[in-house]
Amino acid sequence: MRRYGFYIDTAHCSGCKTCQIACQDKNDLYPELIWRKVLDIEGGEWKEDEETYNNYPFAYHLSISCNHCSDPLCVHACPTKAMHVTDIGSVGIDESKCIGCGYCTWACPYDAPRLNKKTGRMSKCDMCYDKVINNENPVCVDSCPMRALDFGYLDDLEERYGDKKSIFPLVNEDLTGPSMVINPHRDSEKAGEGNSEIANREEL
Amino acid sequence: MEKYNLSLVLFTWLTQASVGLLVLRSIYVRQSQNDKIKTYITGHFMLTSAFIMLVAGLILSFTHLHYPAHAYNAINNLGSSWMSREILAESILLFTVLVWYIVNRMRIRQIPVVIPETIAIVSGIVLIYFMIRTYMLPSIPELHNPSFPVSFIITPVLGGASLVFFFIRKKEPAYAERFRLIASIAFVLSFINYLLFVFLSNSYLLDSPVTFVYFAGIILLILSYYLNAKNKTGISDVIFLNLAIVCDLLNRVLTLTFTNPGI
Repeated sequence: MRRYGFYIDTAHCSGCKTCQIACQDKNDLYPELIWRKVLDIEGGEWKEDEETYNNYPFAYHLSISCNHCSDPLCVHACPTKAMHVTDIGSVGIDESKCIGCGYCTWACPYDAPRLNKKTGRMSKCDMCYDKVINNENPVCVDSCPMRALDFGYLDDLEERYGDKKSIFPLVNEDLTGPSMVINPHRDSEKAGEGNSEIANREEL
Repeated sequence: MEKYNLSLVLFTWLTQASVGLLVLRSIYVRQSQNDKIKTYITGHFMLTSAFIMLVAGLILSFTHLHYPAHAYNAINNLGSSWMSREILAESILLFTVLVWYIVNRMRIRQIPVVIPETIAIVSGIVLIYFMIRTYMLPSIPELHNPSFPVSFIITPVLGGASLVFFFIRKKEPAYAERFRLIASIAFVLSFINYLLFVFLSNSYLLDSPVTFVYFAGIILLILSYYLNAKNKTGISDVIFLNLAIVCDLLNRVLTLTFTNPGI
C-alpha cells in the first residue's frame, strides 16, 4: 500500500498558525487541545568581529502534527489496541477501546496524541480521513496561506522535495519512520548545534 | 510538560517494594531461629503488608486513567505492548498473593503454601522486568539509559529489606542486622545510581533537594552504624531506613517526572 505523507516547508512557513486553527475548527477542538502545532524555534549567538561583538540571531517555524509513522511507537505501546493503523495507512484512535492512560503520548517522540479532557480519551490528527478518502487534502494543507504544507503519496513527495525527515528539534527519523518530508530552513543545522530552543512551549 | 503522573510513580514504588518484601519474607521464614509460631505470625504480617501495598498500588494506578470504564481492554495488546504485559503480570501477582494469604491464614493443608508462594515470587520478578520495559521508552532518552532499570532493581531490595527489618528488629535483633546491612548497601547503590542518572541526563539536577536528602541519609547511615558499634542501639536505625525509603521514593519521583519536555 502506498503511504500518504505531509510536506513541510520550514523555509517558507511564516508561523501564522492558520493550519493549527483550521485543524481545531474542522475537528471542533477546544482551544487548549491542539493536534497540529507550530513550533517557534529561536536561537543565535554573539560573535566577536574585530573590536565589536555582533549578534547573529535566527528563527524559523515548524508546523507539526502526527506523522502517521511507518513504525508507530504509539500503536506498539497502546495496551488496548485503540491506537491502530487505518486502511489508508494513517494512525487512528478507536475511542470505544481507549482508557485515556496517556501511554501513547509517552511513546510518541512527537508528542502527537493528546488527552481530550471532555471525553477522557486520547485524541490526535487523523490525517483528515474523511477528506483523504474523497481525494481531498487535509484541511491544514489547504488552509496554509504560504503554501508551506503539501500532501500526497510519500514517494511522490520524496521525489519532488527530497527525503529529509528530521531537523531540530525532531528526533532521528529512524526511530519511527515518519511519513513526511521537510524542506529545512537554512538555519536548522545551526539550531541543531545548540544555542537554540523552542520559544513557544507554553502554547504547545 | 510533565508526562508522568505521581500516582503512577507511587504505584511502581509500592509494587516493587512489596515484591521485595515477599521475596525476603520467604528467606526470613525459612532461616529464622525464632519460635515457629512467632515466625509464622511475623511472616503472615509481612504477607498482609505486601498484599495491602499491592492493592494500594493498583488503586493508585487506576486513578491515572481518564476513562477507567474501558479498563478491561488494557490487556488487549499483549503481542507488542509492555504495558499490557505489565498489567497482566500485576493481575497474576495480586491474585496469587491473595490465594497465598488465604492458604496461609486458613492453614489449608490441601494446597501446599509453597505453590502460591513460588508463583507469586516468579510473577513479581517478571512484573519488575515488564515495568522496566514499560517505562524505558526509546522516545524518552533520559529514561533510556542504564541507570533507570537499575533503580527498578534497587527499590525491591531497599524497600523489602527495610520492611523486614522493621518487622523483626525487636524480636530478632541479631537476625534483623542482616536485613539492615542489605538495606544499607541498597541505599548506597541507590545514591550512586541517582548520581549516575543526574550525570546521564542533565547535571543541573544536582542542586535538586533530592541530593540534599540523600546526603542526609548518608550521614544518618554512618551515624547509625557508629552508634551500633558503640552498642547504643536506639531508633537511629529506624530513622535512617525511613529516610532511605524517602530518598529512593524521591529519586523515583524525580526520574519519572523529569523528562525532556520534547515538543
